[in-house]
Amino acid sequence: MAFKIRREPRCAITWFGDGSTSRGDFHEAMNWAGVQKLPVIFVLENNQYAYSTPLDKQFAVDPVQRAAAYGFGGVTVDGNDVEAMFEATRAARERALAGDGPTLIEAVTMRMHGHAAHDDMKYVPREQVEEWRAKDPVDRQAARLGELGVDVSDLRAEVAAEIDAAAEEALASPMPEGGLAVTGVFCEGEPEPLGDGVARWSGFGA
Amino acid sequence: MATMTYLQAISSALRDEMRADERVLLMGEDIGVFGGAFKVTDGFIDEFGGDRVMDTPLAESAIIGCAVGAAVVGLRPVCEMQFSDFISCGFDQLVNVAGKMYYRQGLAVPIVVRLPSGGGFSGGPFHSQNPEAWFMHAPGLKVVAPSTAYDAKGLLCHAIHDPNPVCFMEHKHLYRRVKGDVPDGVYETPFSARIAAPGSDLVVICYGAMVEVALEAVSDGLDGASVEVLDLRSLVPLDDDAILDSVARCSKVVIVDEANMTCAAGAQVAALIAEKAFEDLDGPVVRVATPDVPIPFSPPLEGAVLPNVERVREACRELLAY
Repeated sequence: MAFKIRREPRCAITWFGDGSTSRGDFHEAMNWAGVQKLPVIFVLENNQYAYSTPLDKQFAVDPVQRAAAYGFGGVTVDGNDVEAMFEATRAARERALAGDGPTLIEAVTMRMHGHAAHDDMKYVPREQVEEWRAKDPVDRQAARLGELGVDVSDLRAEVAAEIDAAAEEALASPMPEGGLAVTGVFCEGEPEPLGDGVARWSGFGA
Repeated sequence: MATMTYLQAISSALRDEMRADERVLLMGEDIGVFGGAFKVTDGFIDEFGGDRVMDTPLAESAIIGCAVGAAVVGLRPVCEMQFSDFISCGFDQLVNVAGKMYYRQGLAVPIVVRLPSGGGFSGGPFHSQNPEAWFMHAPGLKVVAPSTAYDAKGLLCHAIHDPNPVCFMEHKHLYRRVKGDVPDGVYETPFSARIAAPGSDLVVICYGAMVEVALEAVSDGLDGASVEVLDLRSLVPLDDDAILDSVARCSKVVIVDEANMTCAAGAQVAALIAEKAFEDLDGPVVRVATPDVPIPFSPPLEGAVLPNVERVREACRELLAY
């Protein structure tokens, strides 16, 4: 909304799960974006379970149909296909920047672990997990690139090393002092807005 | 300087802030073309346009949510809830998103949520509430409640400048009944208490519409007792020093809330006094508030539950005689 008001060539993108589509604020946001033709991309990560609740207890219609109900387009994409997701997002962004309003992208995928560490996910049939394990998006993209003669093993090793280093650094960092908990509730001084989208805390700055 | 109603003072704050800062925009139901249910933004759309005086869908959660999004990319949204009661539909976005964003992510959310609140005009249970305590209990939100036209403008300007989410409790019953001198242009009233009437025998601590009630209650009928009226103006932050100073000087305390009694702002004031000023007290802390019932539509029933001049005066009389 701010981008549209300021006539900036930017769009906002938001991610949420299949369970979220049952909430009122999802529908309020979709309706609002449709009414004002806002440059927004709604990405529904449909991983087929909201905690333990399967899709047939979540909605009575295909969720991508929600977009039409609010006056804009929706597309269902194989959420484990990196290039398909990129293309759907690229096209949605182009529409947003052209003033053609929001897009709902339903990324169909699967959660490969429980809702949280404590959850053994036994409510999901084993065959379903295995079926989706075979569709691992990183493996698929690596194979696709391999066919084009690109070897991604170095890149994979680089990413794994970066993650390991970050985990090590986190584990080596001291735990915070308890007194810190009662600080930083209110901002004092001039707010620092997100600006051009490169948030100070995102790791993408400078 | 001009004499204005409380409502005109709110309009004046919004208009002056919008003229001074193009980041300020207004969002709400029926606020644009129609000028707002109470006409606070009457004519604004002609001066500032529909992008800055935005008629939104009837969706309180989305109003607050969009305001949060706009605020974190640099705008200064002022949201109007048509009635404060409707904020319950936007609760999650205000309490869980706006109030906690800075603590979680270091991302300030400079929004103001205007909440036309209070009873006294047969608005019934969905158009008469005083929900300020809901937000006092939610970390990260500031809560202010003016009682005069001067403070309505000054507190609203201050709220718009504040880098945090501020709940601005504007009392509907004061909109056209209260008048006062209001300076031209932007000025700020600090988020602190003020002595509305000085005294030394007893202090009535109150805010919002109850300040007028208290001032009338102590103006006569108390056998010449010197009664102070402390107008809190701000509930978060609460002006502990001003409260404790009044208690130290007056030793007897009546706390008046128009809100329902349990866990109201006055309960927090009473707890503060019990903890920090026990030795200063010369009698029990007395509270006058609306009992824990929805606000009735029927005029005699509403009149029976809302605090009024007679109830406050009676509470003062009894405590003075203690």
